[in-house]
Amino acid sequence: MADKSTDLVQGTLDMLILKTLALEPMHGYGLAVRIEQMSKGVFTINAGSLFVALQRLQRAGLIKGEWKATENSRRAKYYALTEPGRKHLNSETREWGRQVAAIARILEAS
Amino acid sequence: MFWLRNITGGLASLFRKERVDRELDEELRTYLAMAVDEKMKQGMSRQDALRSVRLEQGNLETTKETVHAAGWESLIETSWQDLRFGARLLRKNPGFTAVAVMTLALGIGANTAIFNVIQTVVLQPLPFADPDQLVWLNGRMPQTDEAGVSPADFLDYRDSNRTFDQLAGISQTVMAGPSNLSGDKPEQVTTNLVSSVFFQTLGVPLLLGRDFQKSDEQINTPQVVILGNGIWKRDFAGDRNVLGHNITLDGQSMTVVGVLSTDIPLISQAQIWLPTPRLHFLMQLRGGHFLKVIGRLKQGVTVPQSQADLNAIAQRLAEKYPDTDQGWSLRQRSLREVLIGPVRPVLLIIWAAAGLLLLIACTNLANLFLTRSVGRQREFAVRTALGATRSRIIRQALAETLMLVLAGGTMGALAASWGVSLLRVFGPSDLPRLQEVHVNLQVVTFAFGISLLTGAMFGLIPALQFGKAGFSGLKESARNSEPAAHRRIRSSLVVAEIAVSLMLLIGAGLLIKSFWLLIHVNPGFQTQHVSTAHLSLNGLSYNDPASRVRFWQELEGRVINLPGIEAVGATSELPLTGQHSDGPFKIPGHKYGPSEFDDAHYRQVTPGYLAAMHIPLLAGRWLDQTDTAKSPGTLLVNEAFAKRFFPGQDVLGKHLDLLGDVQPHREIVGVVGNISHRALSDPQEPEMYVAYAQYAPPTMSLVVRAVADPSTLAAALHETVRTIDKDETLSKIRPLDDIVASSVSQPRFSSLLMSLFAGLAVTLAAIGIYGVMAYSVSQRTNEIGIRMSLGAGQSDVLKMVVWQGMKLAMAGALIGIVGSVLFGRFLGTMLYGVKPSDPFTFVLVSIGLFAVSLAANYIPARRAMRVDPMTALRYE
Repeated sequence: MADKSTDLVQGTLDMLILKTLALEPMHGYGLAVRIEQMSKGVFTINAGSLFVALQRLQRAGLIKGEWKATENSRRAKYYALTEPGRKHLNSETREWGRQVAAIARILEAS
Repeated sequence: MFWLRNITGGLASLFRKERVDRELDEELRTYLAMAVDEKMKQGMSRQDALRSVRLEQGNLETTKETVHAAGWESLIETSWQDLRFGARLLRKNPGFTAVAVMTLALGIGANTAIFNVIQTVVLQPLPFADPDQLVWLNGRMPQTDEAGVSPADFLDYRDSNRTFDQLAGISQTVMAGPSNLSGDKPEQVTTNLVSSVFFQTLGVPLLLGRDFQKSDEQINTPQVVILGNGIWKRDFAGDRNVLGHNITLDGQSMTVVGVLSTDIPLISQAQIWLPTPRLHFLMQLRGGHFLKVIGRLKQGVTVPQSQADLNAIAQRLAEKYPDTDQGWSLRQRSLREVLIGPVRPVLLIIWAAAGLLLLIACTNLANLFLTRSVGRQREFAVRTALGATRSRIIRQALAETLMLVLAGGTMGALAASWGVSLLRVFGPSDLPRLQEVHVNLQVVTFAFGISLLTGAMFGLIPALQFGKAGFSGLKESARNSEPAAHRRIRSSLVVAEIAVSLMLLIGAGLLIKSFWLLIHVNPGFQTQHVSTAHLSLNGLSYNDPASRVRFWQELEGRVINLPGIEAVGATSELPLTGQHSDGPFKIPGHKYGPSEFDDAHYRQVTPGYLAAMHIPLLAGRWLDQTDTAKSPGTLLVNEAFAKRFFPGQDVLGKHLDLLGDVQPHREIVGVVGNISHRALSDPQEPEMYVAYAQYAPPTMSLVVRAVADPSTLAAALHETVRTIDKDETLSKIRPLDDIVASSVSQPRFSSLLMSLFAGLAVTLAAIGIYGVMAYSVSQRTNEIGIRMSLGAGQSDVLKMVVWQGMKLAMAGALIGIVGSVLFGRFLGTMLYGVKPSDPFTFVLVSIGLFAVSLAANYIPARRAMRVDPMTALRYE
């Protein structure tokens, strides 16, 4: 847990999931595909880390899951953002923006 | 909020494990199905799509495990699995489990029991309110700082100090008189004189009534009493209306003004408490130092401050009363130190011994586990190959250990509670607060605490070894051989075990030798066939000394005619009972400064006493019927007295001036042998014997030398007393042998416990050596077979194996001897007549330990000797 880079990646994945779910409720596979598409293939999501993150977010109450039928008439668990999740996303996004700006300033200074 | 949800979420998945599993399973399956669908949409065949997804996403089961392991609840789950697995393994090896649990229970039980005693006796605060404020005050003068305080001085200290909330005096001279409380027959009760507000000072509340007040003291003989809790329950059936009742004590009627909430055996055995009668001539003395004083310091006052306060008062008293008070002051110690201090080192040493025993138990178990770990290398190698991580394997090994130590801890706690009840019965009677020792929550916590610590100690080494084995364990050749690291650990464990048991053995040996010397001290009197009894004459009916002398003459005259009686006598102080008084005297012609005098033990005896005790007459004559109240004052002294005060002179015919004596001028008419009066371990001191007829205190001890059966004798003695005076009665009838034995109950206790621990330690160490050697022989069967087929004889093999084991024993013994020399000095204060480095004990004990290790080595060595070379080689 003391590993900084893991924390960063985890946090990043959490934020990406929350951002994606902010658009519409989605199932696991849909999330993976959407994140991959939106990042233009920069991020490929492994099922293991995806479901670990989903379990974590769900336990934190940031998202909630519900079983529904898909368009292909399969049963899938659709995840949706909760109100605390939305707030969390907003504050995380602001924080992210601040950090990116700061990092950019540092990089440009040299 | 987050952690709360996390916990409830985790709990939910723990308790609805199946459903959570099913959901995850379905979710993952859907996920993969969708991925496959996607690939097929892009034109792959179903087969290719499946294969490609599997390549991308990995094994479904592994993914599930990853998700699973991310939640905290999985740790509990696997731990639970580990525990169940451990329990199953332990059940499958009942022999191993029994040995391990028993070893643990022994070590933990011994430690817990001793800890329980230490907790109650040493660690717990004294059972009084604000016990840290309590101090004990002794009279101090150039010769001694163990003296009492004179009653007159006490009053001055009490009234003029500025640093104490209260000071209270207690007269250590216990007065016991006949009373008739329950109404059927007289009995002797133990009473104690205490000054006003004694119980308030001590912080012991009264259940009923009030504490003594100053007005209770303004009398010649006590008029009021406070009942102890025990006698109130026994003789007054716990009657709450007892206040105001009159009871008859020592022929006098007294009014009950209070009942104590509890008896206080720590301070006094008294059953009934009386106020110090200030108008009594003894209580007016400035020169008689017989009060012990307890003080309650004011809050915030330090001991040096109050000592300065007391010293200033002592200074003033010395100026005002130079004849009696010059050179005297008060010594101040915390009450706790006075009561508990003397037993603390004994208990701590016994505790250390118990700790060492536990250490040996741990070592043995570590060895057992190590042996087993070799057998299980393959199992662990397989598990490692199947993906178990090293931490998981160590965790599993620890879980097994945990099961064992919990079982051992439970058994140990049970053994401890049993041991504690044994200690309460058989422990030394002079160990304070022993009867208060009970198993409590703190003790149980301690038992499980050390169990876990123990588990960590003996479980971790093998567990770390398990982890190291890795894949190499799978190789066929590795199946039966033990890594060299194991052998080294195992050998050092045996060496440590032998070293520690040798230290315990030497400690026990020293204590046993010291105890043996102690009980074989010649006390100067013969104890066999002697019975003693206590008799305190009623103060009113026997007010006149002549009447007391007549009573005793008649009693002895009748007792000597009882069947089987050889001799009878009486003394004011029996040896080895704690009764003790000093007689200050001056030798005419010697120069003494102000308040200077000489001092020797002093007692009154009837003419038959010395003969009944078989104390020999060395010169002059016995005291006899010619020494009466009207004849010139006489006394006997012992050899030590003659040597100390009249070195190189003939003491017969010399005179002494006894201070405060009825006959201040006495002639020495005889010299008798020395006796051990205070303790067998103390040097025999100067003694003076005065005829009872010339100085008759009301309280005496009857001494009877008889071949009769003690129980019929007791009945006959009671009957004799009753025929002389139906209101008088004997108490505390017991053989002199008993008195001597209980005077050494503490050294007996400590040497017994030490021997017990040392015996267990040696047994465990022998098992340890045996186990290691037997294992090593079984490992070397092959090698031994080769040696024998190459021509080694049976005796060569025997020698080789025994030598291998004895090398360990010698290394251990060497370390043990060095340790004993280093730590032996802690035993110093407990030893009598033996130095902590006593060579006799060291040599004898080392030889004994070698013999045991040799035996433990010999059995496996013989097995090695009988190895059949052919079988051994085929064994491969």
